[in-house]
Amino acid sequence: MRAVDGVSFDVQKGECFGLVGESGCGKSTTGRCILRLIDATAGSMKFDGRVIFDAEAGTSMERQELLGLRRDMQIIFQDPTASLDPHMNVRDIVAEGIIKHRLAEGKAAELLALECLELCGLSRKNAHRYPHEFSGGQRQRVGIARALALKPKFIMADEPISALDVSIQAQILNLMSDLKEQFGLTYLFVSHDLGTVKYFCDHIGVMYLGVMVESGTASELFDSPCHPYARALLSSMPAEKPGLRNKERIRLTGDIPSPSQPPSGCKFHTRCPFAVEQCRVQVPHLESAGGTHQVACLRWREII
Amino acid sequence: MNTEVDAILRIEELVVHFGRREERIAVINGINLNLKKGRVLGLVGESGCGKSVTSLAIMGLLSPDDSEVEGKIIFDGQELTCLSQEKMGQIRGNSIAMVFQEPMTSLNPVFTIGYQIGEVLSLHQGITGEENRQHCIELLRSVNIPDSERIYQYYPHKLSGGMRQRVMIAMAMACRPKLIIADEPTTALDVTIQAQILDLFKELGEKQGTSMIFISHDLGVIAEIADDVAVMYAGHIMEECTAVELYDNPLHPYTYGLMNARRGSSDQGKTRLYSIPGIVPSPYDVVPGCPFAPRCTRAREVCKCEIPALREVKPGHKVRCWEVENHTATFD
Repeated sequence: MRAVDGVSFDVQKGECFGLVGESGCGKSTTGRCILRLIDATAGSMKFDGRVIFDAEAGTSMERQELLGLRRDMQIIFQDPTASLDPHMNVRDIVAEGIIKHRLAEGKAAELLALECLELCGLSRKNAHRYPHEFSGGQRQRVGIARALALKPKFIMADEPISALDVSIQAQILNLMSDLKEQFGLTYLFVSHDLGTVKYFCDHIGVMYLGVMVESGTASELFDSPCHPYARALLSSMPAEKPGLRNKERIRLTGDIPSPSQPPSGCKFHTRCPFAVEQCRVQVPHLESAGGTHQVACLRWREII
Repeated sequence: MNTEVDAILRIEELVVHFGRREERIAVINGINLNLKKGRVLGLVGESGCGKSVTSLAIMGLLSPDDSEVEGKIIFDGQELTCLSQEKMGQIRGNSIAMVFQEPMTSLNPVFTIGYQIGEVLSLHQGITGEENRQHCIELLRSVNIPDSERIYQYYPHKLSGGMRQRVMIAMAMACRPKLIIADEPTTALDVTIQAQILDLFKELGEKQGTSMIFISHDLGVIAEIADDVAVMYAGHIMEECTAVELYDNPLHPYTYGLMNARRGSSDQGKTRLYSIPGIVPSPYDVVPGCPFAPRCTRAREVCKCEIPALREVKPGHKVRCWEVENHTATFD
């Protein structure tokens, strides 16, 4: 089964790239391929000028080198409860990576861990506590501190706020944006929440069934979405106020097809209100829609 | 307006305690709600605020072994809290129906869709046999399930999350209830499916005039569907008014914080988000004064000692805050 099928994009240094789409669209899988937590079957990836893998050329980074690279590329998970070891106190959780990557040892590593926790808004006093003694938002702060401890260049955040209460989500987003400023981080932000992505990301890619259907800057995408799926997705966002209900909504019928039996041609044609015969046969490729805006649809010019 | 007649559901001084004796904690601290016929009441709040417990109390689904319910719940002129389990069983699923968050776990995996909807009809309305089957298929059709005759024979695992939630709604609608309680019914769904399900709720509400309590943590979802909104925090109602008024003019600092922490609202640009400091309280953390005071930027001495009453500060707009008159226009 092809979970992700021919996705290409560039993430510029210091920006936040958002991957958005519904469940099963391959956004998390794409992120995990980048960190080599999953090995891609084909394609290539470069990070900071270095080739991490290139399936065509048959090259792949040596284990040792990859280990060093892991320091530069960290991850923040969706569920802060499941991603923290319940048997370790939070200081040790943050220090583990520091020791493993030999940034410091013993007391020095602990101090470094405490600093990271403090940067993420957790007091030193609580560093000996265990994950279950913290609230969801605080646990996510631990997860961020752990990622930050290795002084990475790149952090992939996989739905980092979806499991949190509404009033806590804004705190975590503000923290992530402060850290980005302070350390010049680059983020890959995976989310299903369009509002968050619009607010937080510079560039956004919309995925559907393992393919990128549209990408562009936040304003290119949100002000003038071209792909029917992106348009439907944006129009599904709930109203801001009761007075703004019943705006023109592009209704999608049916559910996302199973990725194990993807539709032929354009993968969206089964749910697309604009699909014609050609869409069933011909696979659309990303083409420029002005600026950095790209769209993969055979009919986008006609239907806009 | 005579609320006594208009109201389909009236909740008076509802208090719910969990646990026994010294471990007893208050989860609902005396709430009053009034749901008028044909209206949709949105109940908003974060985890642990008591919104789901309120709905379970209405349904009589809190076990008397480890919880205590005080106060009155008057549904369609009938007081529910003193009914026997048997009597309550006749109301539940019949004139009050519930739709839960997890369509995956609320359907029984070993029975077909048709059997599970049919059960409601035969139990409450004595409809059996071919008539039952026809009725079920009609219900599936009414919630926009394509090919409903085939789906009738399916087991739940064959359906997607959105389809299962439609089945749950069909089941809830089976006896044409007067009241539907929907507890985070779209939270587990993708946005495009969420939009479909919200449209379906609206359509059914309009067609059949069903009154609804719609529980959600998501202010966007509430903006889509609710006529009136009650904002809950730590087992109290903090603010209550019509949906239009709440979004235009949030008066409680908690509501204001929730509204402004939303992303994607108008053109915020890339400025910093407004965020409510502190953490969501657990029912174990009881503070003497206003429950929101520890997180409130405008809390005074009185807020820490005494809990304010829910007062009507404008016609139809109730707020539980000491400081509301001093801060009608600006927040910081």
